[in-house]
Amino acid sequence: MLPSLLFERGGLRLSNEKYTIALAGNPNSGKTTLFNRLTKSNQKVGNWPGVTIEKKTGYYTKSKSGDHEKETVKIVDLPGIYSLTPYSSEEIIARNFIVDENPDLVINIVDATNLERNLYLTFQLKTLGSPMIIALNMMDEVEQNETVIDFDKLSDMLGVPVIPISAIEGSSLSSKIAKMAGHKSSKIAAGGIDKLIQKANDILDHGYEQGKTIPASGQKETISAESFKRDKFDPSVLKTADEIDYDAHSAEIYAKIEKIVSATVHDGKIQVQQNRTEKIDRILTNKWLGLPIFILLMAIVFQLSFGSIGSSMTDGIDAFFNETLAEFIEGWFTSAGTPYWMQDMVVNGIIAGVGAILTFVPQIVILFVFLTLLEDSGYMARVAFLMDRIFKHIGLSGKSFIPMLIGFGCSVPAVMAARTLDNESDRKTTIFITPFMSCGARLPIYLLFIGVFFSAHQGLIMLFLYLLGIVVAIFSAWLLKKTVFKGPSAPFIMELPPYRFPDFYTYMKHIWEKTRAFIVRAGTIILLATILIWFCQGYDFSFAPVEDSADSIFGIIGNTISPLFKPLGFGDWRATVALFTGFIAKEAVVSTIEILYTPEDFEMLFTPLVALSFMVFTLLYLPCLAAFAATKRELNSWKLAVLAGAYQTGIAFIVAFIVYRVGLLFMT
Amino acid sequence: MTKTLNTVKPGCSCKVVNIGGDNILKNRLLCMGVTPGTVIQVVKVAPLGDPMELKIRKYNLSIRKNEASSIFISEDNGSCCPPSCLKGAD
Repeated sequence: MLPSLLFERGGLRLSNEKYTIALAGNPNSGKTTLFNRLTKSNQKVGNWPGVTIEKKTGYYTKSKSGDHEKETVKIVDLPGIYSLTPYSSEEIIARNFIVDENPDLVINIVDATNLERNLYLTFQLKTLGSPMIIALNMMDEVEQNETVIDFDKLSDMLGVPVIPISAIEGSSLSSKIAKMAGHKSSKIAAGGIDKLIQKANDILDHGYEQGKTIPASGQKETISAESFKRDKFDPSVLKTADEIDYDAHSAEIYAKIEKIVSATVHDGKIQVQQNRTEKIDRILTNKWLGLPIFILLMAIVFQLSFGSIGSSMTDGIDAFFNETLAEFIEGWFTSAGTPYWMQDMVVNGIIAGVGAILTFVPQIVILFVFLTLLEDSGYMARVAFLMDRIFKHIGLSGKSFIPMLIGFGCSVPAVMAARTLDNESDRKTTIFITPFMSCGARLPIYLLFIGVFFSAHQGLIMLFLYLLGIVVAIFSAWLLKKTVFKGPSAPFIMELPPYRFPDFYTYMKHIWEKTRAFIVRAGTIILLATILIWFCQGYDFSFAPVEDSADSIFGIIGNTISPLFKPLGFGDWRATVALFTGFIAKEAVVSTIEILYTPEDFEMLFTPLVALSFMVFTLLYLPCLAAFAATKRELNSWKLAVLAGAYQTGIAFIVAFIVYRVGLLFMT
Repeated sequence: MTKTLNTVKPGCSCKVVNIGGDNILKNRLLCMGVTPGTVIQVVKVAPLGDPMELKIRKYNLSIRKNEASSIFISEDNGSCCPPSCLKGAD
């Protein structure tokens, strides 16, 4: 992009030069849905430089004015924000983007059912001076309530063109599904998105001053150049934020908004969505029913994801990788005469390792299908509302509960889900502690040990392990907030958005994005790691293949390190190697034990107490590579990621030590 | 003595007079529309006793009682009055 050229609005442009549109709006205003409608599948997801806030960029093409040539328009989806004050990183990003990058146009999406609060951001955006259009969303709901909005007057008073839209409509399949779910389409907003694009293109082609007639909603163009004086954003505002008189500033803006709303909006007699939300909340956040219903819902979600349905699919994929595919490749390699080491690497290294990760895809998809639905419908905010009291005591907020909950399924999406936390120190603390929630992959380890050593008390031991994880997580959160992640705890101020049926396309996209991130990791970092592990298990330091894995690189390292675990009861080198492979994937602990131990050895070297100590250690120590990679990415720092791993392993050591030593006292 | 929002009972409405607390809190509340003169209805309190759910400017907001104790409200009609008696102010 050439910012200097873009300053000349309506002036000379290079023929292939791109336009930039910034999409800004409140959370829950339908911003993501509109972004998906405008850009279809032409999207790129990354992070804003320096922070882990998601940056979404999309493109659409338009024909050049009076020409048949195509031009590309870039749309940048700014973070969902309520205002532009310099207190949160999202707000600073949005503000700096508009001021520094000089977008050719800002589309401000506004929830028409909640005009007063939404227009606050509009007023602040206007002071930044970029040309702007308001996309007045949720018109379908406005119509259902028989509320009447005078668009011309609204546009007049705001000094910004207003286009009524209903973002949920437009895409054929998605709107059909919405209709099946009882969605009533809007007449006023019919074709609203096309009009929005047309209006946007009009401003891009002719500049703001020349963009005269807007056929969109028939309103007059009253934008004057003066209404968009460019106030350069002054970075010193960040330093002097404490001295700004927000009292007067905010009160003044809200006074203006109240005037505009009372002059342009005539409320209908009914409030369909509000009444519906109220009714649902009478049950879901009920004093007596709220918490039991939440626990029941979670039990159902986890039963479906990790119970019989999910695990039967997992078994199917497992069989495909370890039997069908492995046999096929083995046969193919043999007939092609490839060397044995190559065959061994592919079959016992890559297929076994990557396959072990991919077998979790069905369970993860099912988990996301439900959790995303709960998230996109507005229920997750209620979960935070219900649980906040508990988390307040350890210095976190109820919003931290959601990542922890997902952690029972898989640490990777759990660590990613911490993104929803708006306070940096809360977010980092949550990332540190979510791996303590016992994930689904650790279950096979418990099943193996409990089956052999605790067959009489299976449920009890299982419950003990899960509770231990929770207790350690809560203790760690308290400790971390007291030491490493000190800092003022952010005020807990959270919108409880109305329950809405999520847009189908956006919903599917959310699920796909999360699943994709998981698969990509399996194909990249884990692929490399499995090759490394395969090598370390089968070769010695002179790179010669070994007969007995005790002589392999892992065997030698295991033998060297294993004395460290003596105080915990499992000083055997094979147990140490199992912990190493567990870093690749927790289930690998089970397969390593199965390969390296004979049943007699296993029962001789482990006692029930040693088994318990070992399970406690595997519950708490360094999570798997995929989770570690996610931790590194989300913390955006190697230092902190290594610190997290070291902390987790340290805690594992201490707790396993206590369990073992206390157990010994009882035994004697 | 002025009353604060955390003392208002569920189902009752009141009017904001002033906001105290540190700047971050004050600013956040103001941005969300909790400005002097605004009518706030306390919808309910979470099952475990905190946070509160408020209705303000036609949307629902959740804040902790601790935050609510920084919001000073008018005592025109006592610390709590049914929504009907504030209709004129709406």
